[in-house]
Amino acid sequence: MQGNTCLAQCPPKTSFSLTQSLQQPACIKELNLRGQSLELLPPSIGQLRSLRLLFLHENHLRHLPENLTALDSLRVLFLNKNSLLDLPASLGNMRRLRQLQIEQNMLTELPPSVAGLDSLRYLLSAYNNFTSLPEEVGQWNQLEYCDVSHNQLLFLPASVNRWGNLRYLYLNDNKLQQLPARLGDLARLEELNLSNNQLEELPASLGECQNLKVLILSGNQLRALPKSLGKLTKLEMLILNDNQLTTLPRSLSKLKQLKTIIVKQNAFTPAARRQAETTLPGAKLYF
Amino acid sequence: MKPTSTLLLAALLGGGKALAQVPCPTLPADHISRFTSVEPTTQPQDLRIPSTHTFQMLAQGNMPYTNAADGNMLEAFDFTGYAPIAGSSTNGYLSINHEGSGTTSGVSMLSLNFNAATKLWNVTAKHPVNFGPVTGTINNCSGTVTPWSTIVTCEENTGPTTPTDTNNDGYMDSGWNVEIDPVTHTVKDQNGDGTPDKLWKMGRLKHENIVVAADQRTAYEGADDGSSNSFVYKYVATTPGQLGNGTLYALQLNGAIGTGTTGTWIVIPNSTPAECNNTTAAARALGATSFNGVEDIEISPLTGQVYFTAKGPGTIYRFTDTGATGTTFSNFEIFAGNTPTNTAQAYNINYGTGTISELWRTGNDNLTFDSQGNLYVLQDGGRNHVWLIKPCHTQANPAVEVFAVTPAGCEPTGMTFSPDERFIFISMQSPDANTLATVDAAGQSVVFNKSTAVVIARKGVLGTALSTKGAQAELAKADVYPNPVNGSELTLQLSHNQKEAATLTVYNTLGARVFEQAATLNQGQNTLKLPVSKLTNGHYNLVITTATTTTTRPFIKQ
Repeated sequence: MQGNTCLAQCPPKTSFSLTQSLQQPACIKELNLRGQSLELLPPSIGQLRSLRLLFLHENHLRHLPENLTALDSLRVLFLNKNSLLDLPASLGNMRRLRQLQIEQNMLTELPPSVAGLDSLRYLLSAYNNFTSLPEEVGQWNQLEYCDVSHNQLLFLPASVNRWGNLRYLYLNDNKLQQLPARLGDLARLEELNLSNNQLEELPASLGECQNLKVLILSGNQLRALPKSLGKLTKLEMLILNDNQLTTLPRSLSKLKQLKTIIVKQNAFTPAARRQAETTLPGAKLYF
Repeated sequence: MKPTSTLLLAALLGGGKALAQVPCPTLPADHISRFTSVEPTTQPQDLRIPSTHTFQMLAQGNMPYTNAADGNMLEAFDFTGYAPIAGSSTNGYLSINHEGSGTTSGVSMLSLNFNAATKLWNVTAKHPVNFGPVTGTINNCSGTVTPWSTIVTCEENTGPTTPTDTNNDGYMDSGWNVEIDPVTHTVKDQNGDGTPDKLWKMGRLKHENIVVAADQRTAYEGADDGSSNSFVYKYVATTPGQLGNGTLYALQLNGAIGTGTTGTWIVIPNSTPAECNNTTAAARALGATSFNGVEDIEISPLTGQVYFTAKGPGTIYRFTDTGATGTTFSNFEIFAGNTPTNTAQAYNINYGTGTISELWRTGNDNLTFDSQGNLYVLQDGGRNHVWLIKPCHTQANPAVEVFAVTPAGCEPTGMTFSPDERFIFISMQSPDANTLATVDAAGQSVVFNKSTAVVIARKGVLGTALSTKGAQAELAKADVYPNPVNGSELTLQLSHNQKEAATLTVYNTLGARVFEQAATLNQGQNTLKLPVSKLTNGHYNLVITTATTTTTRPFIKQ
């Protein structure tokens, strides 16, 4: 059977074989080729126009055929744990893509066309070699979850302030030296992990992230925190170990939800420790 | 392994003194862990277990569930836990994890019982576990059978399908342990509000495995999360038998891995959803020790020591803990496998007619203790063997056997014992498209070309066909080819350690003898030809009998 002629007798929607899928290309909604030692993906995969979920993770892929992006019904694409050096230039054609999972590859950049991924909600791209993200990522206004940890990021594009639906942002283990001034526009942000970067200061606007519950800043070069953190009224966890802090802002005393503060490996004097404990009686401090 | 309560009765947690080497007990002749090793090889198409043992296939991927509306069993069988009913070794549930992706993750719950007359297991029902009320599960890896006979399944990933909190209950959707009632095949309610919960307080991490101690309070778990975040955790439940609330700790070794022998349990905050969601970040910030891919973790029934595997280096560690109330541990050391100074550890394996030095390689994964302290090690990497390490083992005086060589492409997963230890339940996860048919103890023709759950026992315990025969060694090597055979001759290649007369007999699937031929085997390599042109197409067993050996090889005539 070919094309839509199979509608009356579609097989189970999940397939583990590309060959079998191509025999009934209009029927397959989910194709799982995880861990099949694939080194090349044949261009014929572009025929699976009904595909919604495509799992290609844990293979040996270095490049992808350009017509992969013809899969315009695709919602979920797993490419993690391959050896990818680049992504198709036309990646942005996948307008329905909600989840892109590309961690543990050797990618250095996202193509500018990613501006077209305007349905993207989840980006998982840790453990690559990105040094920057294109300004076009600001177009992802549906983005809820973004993990670009364990890359080589030197800076973030200013446009990230347009990620108005973002709830989880993981930028840890990069080389960031500064953050966009308008980071505080991320009003729905609940978790922010900036640990193991090279930050010496934080933007005051961070205090505008009114929904932030977890803030992780360990392994930077911070000498002080902005007073504006005292406006993070929903903050529950503050992880600050391995910095150069000598004190905590007194404004933190306003944060009644704050229960855990980890400040090991900083430069607190015994007096500063006592002061912090006195100022924050409702929190458990780990020195 | 996921020990049953019986196995854990002797698992006393306590003591801080250095332990003397444990003597190896002489096992009864009919003990399941008494065997001659299988010859270690690369993975063949079939499952090779000791000649004194046999297996029965219980389930394979894509078999239909009992209720047609539930569809078919998923693939990627992982934890294979036998949960006894009222302590029975002949009546219980078999919980099979599906370590899939997307919509291919989940758990199947089988009902099964052992028929004393046929000496076979009957699977009477197959149901999928309903994870709908807890927003599904992802990558169900390993797990445990609790001392109170429920199942805990472990989510190996903190994503990926929906890496967020989609139902806005404060807890991220995935990355948790989940307790299942095998009777109802549903997720347990942990807080008494009438709705199922995942085990939030045990932390959100890339859960590989868990073991619950006999005190019904102390649990150990590990994370398979790369070189930086693979921590070992201890969880002490507030109330015995109820895992919903408790204190979470992470292991911190005093000194570097390889030199540190003592350490401390660090309390990991878990009082709010946000804290529970961020277990890994807190453990890392508070100084927990990462072991590069922690896999299974188990408790020795002999000493109460805790054993765990690190897949990356291919190492099994152990330590002496101080139980539910202690915050320190001691005697931390490498028990088996590779070491920082020997990354190519090999063990001599005596397989009856010879001895070979077999590399341990990497990938030690699932662990299972029997009650005598024999530790089964299931390998995901290297050559994917099922090893056995005796309790008297030391690195200086190794005591290592190979229990199984597994079918091509598969990872052996599971595994658990029946409480009486007459039966082993284990799965072969996602083999290649193998074609060789094997006849199991039930007479079923089994091809390991999809995930397969089997039960293994000694001959005489499982199945009747061979039950009256005394255990007899197999020939060291005996391969038939081509298989399937569509020509006039089947070639048999074998090696033998002496000159000896042999009889070659071919049986059909009904057990009828259809061909017999005498032969003389010489010491060393032998090549024999069997005329098969007159056999009708179908499955057959070739039995090679000498005065000292009986060897069965299946083949297909096309």
